[in-house]
Amino acid sequence: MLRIEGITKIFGRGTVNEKIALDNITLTVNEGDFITIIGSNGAGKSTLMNCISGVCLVDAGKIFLNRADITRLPEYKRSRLIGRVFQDPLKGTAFDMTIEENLAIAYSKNKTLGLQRGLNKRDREIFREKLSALGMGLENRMKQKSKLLSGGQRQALTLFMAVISDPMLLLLDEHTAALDPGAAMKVLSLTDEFSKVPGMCTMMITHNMKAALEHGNRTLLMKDGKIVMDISGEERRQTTVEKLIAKFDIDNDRMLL
Amino acid sequence: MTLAALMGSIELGLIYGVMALGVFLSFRTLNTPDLTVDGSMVTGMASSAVMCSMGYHPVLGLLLSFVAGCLAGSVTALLNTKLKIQPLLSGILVMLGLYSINLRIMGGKSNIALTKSDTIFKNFSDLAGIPYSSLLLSMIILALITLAFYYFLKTRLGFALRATGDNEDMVRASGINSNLMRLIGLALSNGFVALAGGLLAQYQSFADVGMGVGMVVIGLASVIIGEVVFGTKTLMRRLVAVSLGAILYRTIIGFAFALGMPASDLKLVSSVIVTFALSTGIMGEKFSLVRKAGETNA
Repeated sequence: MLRIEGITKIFGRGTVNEKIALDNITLTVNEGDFITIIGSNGAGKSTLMNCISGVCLVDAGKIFLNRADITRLPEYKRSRLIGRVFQDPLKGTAFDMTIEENLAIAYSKNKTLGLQRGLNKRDREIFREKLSALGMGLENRMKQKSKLLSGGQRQALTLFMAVISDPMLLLLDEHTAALDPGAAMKVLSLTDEFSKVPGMCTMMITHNMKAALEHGNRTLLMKDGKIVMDISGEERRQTTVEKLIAKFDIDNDRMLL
Repeated sequence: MTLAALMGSIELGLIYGVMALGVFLSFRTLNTPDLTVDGSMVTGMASSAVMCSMGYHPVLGLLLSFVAGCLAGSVTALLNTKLKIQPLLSGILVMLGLYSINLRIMGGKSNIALTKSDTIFKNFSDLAGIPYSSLLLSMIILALITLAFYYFLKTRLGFALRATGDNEDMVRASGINSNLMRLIGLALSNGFVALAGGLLAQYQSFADVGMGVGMVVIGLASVIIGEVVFGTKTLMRRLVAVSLGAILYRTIIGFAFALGMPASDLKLVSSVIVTFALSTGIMGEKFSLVRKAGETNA
């Protein structure tokens, strides 16, 4: 479904600060895959996602989504096929707009943008029904502005907005890192649920190695812009956090949390 | 203040209300203070005055004002999104350039009088044959434009525009071209500002190339005063508040004149009012911090 062929991204090329963020990465993600990505700071995890989503363009290599070459496609056009949740809960919603208005924007992602009414009765019913499935009581707060939500509620809403328009790919960049443990757990279990939507694949960056092994069906470890480990199936089931630490000489405390 | 003067202030306020709505679109909806307004207001005045003085229908003049304003706003947006010039600076550049363009539109003269030409206000007065017909006409126009704003901001495109001002990352992640939204927003904003300029020229029967100075501040003052006094609870209330803010601002100025304030002090007063209004947020925060600190000490 997603095919990445030899992509390279270099920041500050030709300067003393030159940094190879992605070093000739090749990766194929299949439909239904839920990939967790771990790696220390600066390993290139976020850059990988930014290159896939079009926030930055790659210096070399090609990216295909559903067989279409999206390497040069601007960010907003790719977004029609890709759902995203950022680390910062403030980044996912328009804070001064109501929950239902935010949902309407996400819901009309692949529809023409014109002078149609932004929200109609049917939309509201659909939103109410789907929101109640989240089990957070948001269906009764649809007319409230999203700035009134807590971080966890906001990330749940953003996650919901990311999948409401049936994307092919869901990109989660440490989307639970800014939440308290309880809210993080809730959002993670929602993530598990949403990742089962047919016709979609999911990639999740996390600093939590335990979560990386417990969620999804495949785990990547990145280091210095390369994928140094790609495990799934039986091999992944046998892997524990301790084994990973021993094998890859991981000394980043934050990853052990 | 005499009744006639008060009525005059309210009429002017109604016309400035159209401008305030335009400023609202850039300042609040797109979250960008747009200085193009100082130029585009006059572009609207010039376009409408020239059309009227050449004997064309005054409504045609207003349409041309709107289109000219849209073009001016588009240039500002393109400078900002394509050439990556900061929004404030883009506005200043276009505002400066417009000064020359406005003079050209006016045929090199710095003012145009419309005493002998048709204007919508004269035509309407002949048609209606009632006192205060200008007041009625301005009121109808402002009400229609406020309604149009309301319905527009509730459309899918309107949602996208509002979200662009709130959170551009989210907008791009939702498959919307945020640069296009900026272009549409600034074009419409300046379109309405210029329309207000066109109305103003026809209302006072003259256009002057220097009249735009400080317009953006008057627009901001109207938006802020309106929001503070009349509230922002719902979108409709907010839009009405902005229009009323413009009327209130004009009335305050009218009273100040009646009390003997020299006309030359107007700009200083406007700028002080806006400074005060803009700082209320931070002042409130500071005072509440002081109070909180006091509570913990006690």
